[in-house]
Amino acid sequence: MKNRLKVLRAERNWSQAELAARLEVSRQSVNAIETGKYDPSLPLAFRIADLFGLAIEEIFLRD
Amino acid sequence: MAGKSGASRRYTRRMAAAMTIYLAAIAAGEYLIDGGRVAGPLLWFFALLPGLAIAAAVYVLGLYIVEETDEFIRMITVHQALIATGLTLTFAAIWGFLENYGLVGHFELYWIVVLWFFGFGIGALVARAIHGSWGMHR
Repeated sequence: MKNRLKVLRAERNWSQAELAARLEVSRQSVNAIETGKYDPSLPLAFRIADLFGLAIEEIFLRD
Repeated sequence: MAGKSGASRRYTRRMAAAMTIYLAAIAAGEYLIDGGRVAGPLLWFFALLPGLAIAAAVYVLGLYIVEETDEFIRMITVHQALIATGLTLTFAAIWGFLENYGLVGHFELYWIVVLWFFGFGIGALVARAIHGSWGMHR
């Protein structure tokens, strides 16, 4: 699944480690989600959406 | 959570404790059982101890999977465990038939656990290749 996580992170000048800390996950998780290697669970997707103040479908896009 | 998670640190500490008990049990078994210094219930206790220490190691890994809060790392660990289990079961089946047909020597069953953890290491390599992460070994 495609997502805009990398762009949204870059807009806020956050490193992967910073975003990981805010989400309370590992940097590897952020990297795997950004590169499309891992689709997060619904609870984590909601945490990501809440952090950026967006709806899930504004971050995660259908293939 | 830039480095190791709390669950990962607890795993390392608990696994070190289990392995320490295992090594002590092996040493005690060699001295007390092989040396003929114990009998009866004590003999059974020291004979069971190394296996129970291994059971503790398996339980420690299970605890880690339950306690890890990072879902991606947890998924990788479960993937590793499945690879390890698949490899170990395959080895056991193949070796069992070869041994049955007299083509290979006897395989001591307690080595199966060592093989499983070796498979877990191979699982880490596979996880790195597929998911781009070493999982709990980060």
